Amino acid sequence: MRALLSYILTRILLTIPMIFILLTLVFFIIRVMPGDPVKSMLGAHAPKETMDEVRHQLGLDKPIIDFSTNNQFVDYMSAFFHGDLGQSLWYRVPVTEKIAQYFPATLELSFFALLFAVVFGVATGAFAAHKRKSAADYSIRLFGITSYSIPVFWLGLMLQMIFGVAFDWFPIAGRIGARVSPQVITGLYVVDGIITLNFEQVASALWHLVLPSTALGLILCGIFIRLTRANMLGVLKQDYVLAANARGIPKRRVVYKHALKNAFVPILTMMGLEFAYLMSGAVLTETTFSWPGMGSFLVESVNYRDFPALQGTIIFIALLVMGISLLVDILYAIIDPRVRY
Amino acid sequence: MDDAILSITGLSIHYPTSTGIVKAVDNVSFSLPRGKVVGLVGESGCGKSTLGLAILKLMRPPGEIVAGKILLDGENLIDKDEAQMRRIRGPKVSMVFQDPMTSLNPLIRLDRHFLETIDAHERNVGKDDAMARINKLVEHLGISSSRLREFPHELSGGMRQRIMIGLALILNPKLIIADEPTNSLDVIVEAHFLDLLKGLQKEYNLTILLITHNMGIVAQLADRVAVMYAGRIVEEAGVMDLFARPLHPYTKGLLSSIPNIEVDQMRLYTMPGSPPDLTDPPPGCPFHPRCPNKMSICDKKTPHDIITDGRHVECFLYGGKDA
Repeated sequence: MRALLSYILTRILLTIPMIFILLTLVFFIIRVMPGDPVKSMLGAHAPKETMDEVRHQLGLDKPIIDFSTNNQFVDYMSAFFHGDLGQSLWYRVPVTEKIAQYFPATLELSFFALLFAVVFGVATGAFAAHKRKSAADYSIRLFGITSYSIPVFWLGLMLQMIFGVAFDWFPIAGRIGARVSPQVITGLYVVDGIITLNFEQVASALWHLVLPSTALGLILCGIFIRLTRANMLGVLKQDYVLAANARGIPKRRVVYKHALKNAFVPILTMMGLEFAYLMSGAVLTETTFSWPGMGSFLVESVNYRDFPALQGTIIFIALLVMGISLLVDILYAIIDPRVRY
Repeated sequence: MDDAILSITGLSIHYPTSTGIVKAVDNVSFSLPRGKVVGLVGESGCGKSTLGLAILKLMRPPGEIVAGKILLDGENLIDKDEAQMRRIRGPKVSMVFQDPMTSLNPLIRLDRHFLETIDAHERNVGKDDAMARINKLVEHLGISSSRLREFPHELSGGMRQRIMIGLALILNPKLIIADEPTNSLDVIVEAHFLDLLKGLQKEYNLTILLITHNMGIVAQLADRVAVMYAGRIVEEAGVMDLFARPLHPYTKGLLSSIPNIEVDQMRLYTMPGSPPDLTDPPPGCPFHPRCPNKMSICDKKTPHDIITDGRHVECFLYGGKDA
């Protein structure tokens, strides 16, 4: 237990230098990108004096970096550690405020999509490995490769047409019904509904989540099916599986307890990677289902040349990715007692 | 030999591969007398491990038993389905594998290994009773029961192998198949382990099939020896007889290859050639290409069931030429 705690602590301390490197990289990459934020704010034909004035207000006339303490890099770092990711040029509000507005939608959608993909993908993948070379195995593999290669917007449209329009079972756009005015605490409508005991809100939010998270989940589950199956086949050849069989442990237990536990570590890695990827917003899914998430916000920020919004969002997402990989590393150590520093 | 706990007759195991059928075990017959230790010796790849696994019908795919009978206490295991075999594995016959590091699940605590084994066969044993039994056995094997809460990688190699023995004994089987149990141990630990195994064998009146390539271990532990070559048992005898008077040229070769501290040897004897490719074994006796006593019949006919002086040896030097 002490070893585990010291591992977790070490791993957390290691992220501190990573945060510095990350912030520095984002700062310079944004500044070498073509385009002038002031110009895109005021339009190309604004008078030069106004441009200079705005440039001065934003602190963009300072040197990018030098040996003094009065430069853009220092301003940027100091703002970051005060929890300030800058002002959106387009919306004229702090970027953090916009993130707080859009991010919960993405988190909610990603969570349910990944839940679907992992539960369904790992279960069918493990079953396919268990019944190797059976009809079920071949069907599951075919399904895996198909679902992996379908374009998500097409699948989304099909689901909308069939289950939204033809059968009229599920809503096809937005996060919540028009007649429900959601109470917002965390921004996650399902969670907020549970906290405030507003079950109409919970039902409506879940109802709206069905089609987009199914579309996204089906696309993602192909990877999990194939990864789980391949890893399980490898693990099933291990000596301890043979040894467990030789002790007369029931096959179901050998496969789903001994083997799956060992096959799970690479699956966990993939979960982390996929979740991190989803955090930047599944742009195509969000667009298809008019889902107001991070993907939509990022596309908007790029279109409006909203540099501070872009920079703030990138930092936010990068920090999240770091947090997720930290979490995955800690989970490794919990699953596998051999993982220690 | 009347009271055999296990008797195998005419057993053949084939592995279909892309280059042809590998006859890993070819028409093998032998039996294990109750309460005795039988050594099964041979080079790597001669089929001895496959034979050991076949007793529990656990050959690695795509191996399959194509002929023969395996009688355990008079019941033919070939007729048993998977569910019936599962109930035999553990309580009736158990196995000790060569590498205890890879034979224990690295993510599961040691006590769980024991508990699930008991749970798989004795449904109505409570957890406390089971734990008491496990602790007692493990302490008896010289491991503090407090270590059962640890994971396999936290134990030393010798301790892990004792845990493997414990797992094999926890359901009180009468027959244990030990597949090169000391392969991963250093000589000191190996000596302790062999003493322990010998003690346990007497204490529980176990029958042990000891699969090994180490003649020294056989000499220490076994009552009888079966020598395997290219998927066939070429000679079987009591351990004293075999070491004092080996009959088969292969056995003679094996014994001469052991360094002897009492003889002043400049070079150690080595057998010429190498074991045959089992997808395409030589015609007749599989040993004839390497045999110093080769006769004209040897590459034409396969010796079978030759008995001389009450000993079983598959070699035309001892008769059977007319059969």
